[in-house]
Amino acid sequence: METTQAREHLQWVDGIVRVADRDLNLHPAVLIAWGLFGTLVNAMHQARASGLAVPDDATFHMPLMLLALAVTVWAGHASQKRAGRVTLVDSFAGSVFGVVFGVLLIVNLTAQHSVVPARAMGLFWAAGLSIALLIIGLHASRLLLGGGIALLAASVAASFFPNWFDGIFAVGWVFGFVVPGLVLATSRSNGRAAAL
Amino acid sequence: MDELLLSRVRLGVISQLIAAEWVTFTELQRSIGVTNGNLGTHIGKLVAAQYIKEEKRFEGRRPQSRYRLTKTGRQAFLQHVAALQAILEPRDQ
Repeated sequence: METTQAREHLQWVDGIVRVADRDLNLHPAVLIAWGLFGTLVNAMHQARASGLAVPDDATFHMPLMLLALAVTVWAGHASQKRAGRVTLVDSFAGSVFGVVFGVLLIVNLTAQHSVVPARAMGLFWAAGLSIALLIIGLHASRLLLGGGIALLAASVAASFFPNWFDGIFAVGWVFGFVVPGLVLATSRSNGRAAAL
Repeated sequence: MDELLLSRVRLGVISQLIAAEWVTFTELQRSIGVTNGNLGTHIGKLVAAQYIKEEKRFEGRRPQSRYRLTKTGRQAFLQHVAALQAILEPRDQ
């Protein structure tokens, strides 16, 4: 093989790998669904803390979580179908979200009402998922990095305003998940998602 | 130098798969820009050499073929790229 052909083949490989290995085919519906879940749960808690009549947690926590899980499963299939591939970054993001979610859920189910006050679980979820967003964001998406910073900022700020503890988390979930999801959905329809 | 990867199309297929868990036939065709028949022939050679693994399934009612890189394929790709770089090194120094 001549040097010109070798150079051309290496450039061909480099062009493919450089683009492909950074692709995150995350469906915006996943971010929006989990963002709305976190926002609604925390907004309800804030409403209760503010003296409003709010139904028991059991009546809306589990249904909302199951709804978000159903959207995640549907969106996962839709995303793979659309992209025609699952990249290594996709697998990595799935593992990070899955592990963080699983650990938080186990801690929530075992520690809440025994050693950790129920109210503190909002902080666990916000801080835990901000870690997931920051890790995936640093690897593959400035948009998720921004979401992670917003949710982390809410986790820090909430402790300084005890009367608005849950309300601040609700705002954090909006800017951590819902807004990035809407930006991703908009940019996808304009064909610019890869740059985010 | 790996004889099988001297083809630009086959090298493109392996490059696509090196950064993915799996890629569908349609997506490979779109990203590499070759005809169905041409890609099918090249993929057949890669499957026969066990560089890639073919999985056939149904997406809804439509049949779908998707491909994964094997350990053999990854090793062959890395050695091939190293050989290409070795060709260029004396001139680049």
